[in-house]
Amino acid sequence: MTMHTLDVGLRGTRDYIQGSQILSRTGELVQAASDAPVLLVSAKFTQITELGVRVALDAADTDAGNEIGKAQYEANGDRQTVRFFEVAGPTAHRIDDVAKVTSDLAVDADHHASCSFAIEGSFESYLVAVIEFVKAAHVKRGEDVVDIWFTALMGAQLPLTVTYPTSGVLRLTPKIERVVEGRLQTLGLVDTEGPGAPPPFQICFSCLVRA
Amino acid sequence: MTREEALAAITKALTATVGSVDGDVTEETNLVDDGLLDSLDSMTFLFELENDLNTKLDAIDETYEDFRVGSIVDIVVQATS
Repeated sequence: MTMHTLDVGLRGTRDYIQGSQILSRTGELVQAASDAPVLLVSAKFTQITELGVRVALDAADTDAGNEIGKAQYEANGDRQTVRFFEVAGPTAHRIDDVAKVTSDLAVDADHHASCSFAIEGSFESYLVAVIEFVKAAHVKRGEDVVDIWFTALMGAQLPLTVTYPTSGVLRLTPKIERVVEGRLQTLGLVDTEGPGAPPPFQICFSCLVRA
Repeated sequence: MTREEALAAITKALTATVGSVDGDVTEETNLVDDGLLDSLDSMTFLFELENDLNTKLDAIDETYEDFRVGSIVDIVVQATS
């Protein structure tokens, strides 16, 4: 068995475990087991949780409980799919909040958006900035857009160990929108400007548009 | 673009989305009902397809629900004609 309980918590006043924490703690496990630099390639979350999270690093691990998502990491061209499971039990512990890392958000009528960011340069801090940015861009759609969640990223080449730009600009280009079971799902392309910035990737969010 | 070329483009976008696909994809295949794509995958599939065709498929709007391959072939052929 290659199941691991992740060291994640409810940050600040949030009542859910952030995807950025799940992907970062898992990435550390994957990187620790690899001699080669590891990249995050894709991730998909189908459910949020306020409980703990376990990760199955091996596809052979089954029957681990309620699956809430999965991700793919890559090392030396080999891809590894991991799956996330909700831990039955008490609510996760609370951890300190972090300051907002994006500013100067601008969103046009077609939902193209940009912002500045200032981060420490780690993989997790970059992911936090991207999710904070895209969520804020969805908030700007109007007061009738609520319950906004990061659900997936695809086509990414996000290294776990290199230093990301500590400041720069993020841009979001909307590409696909669909309404599924009453919720709006969006797919946009994220571009990062800054020294050593990663290549563009796709990010998906889900939100409720009140009538 | 011919129907065969459209089908090839759809299969390519499908493979880019989910990796390998078991069995043949035909015009009778329904990508969602047959379990090849979930709702999140369908977003990526449409992104990959439009990217590959370098064409916005306006007929597939936010309420589009028909993921039968033959229907998407119709749309691709019309959009690229």
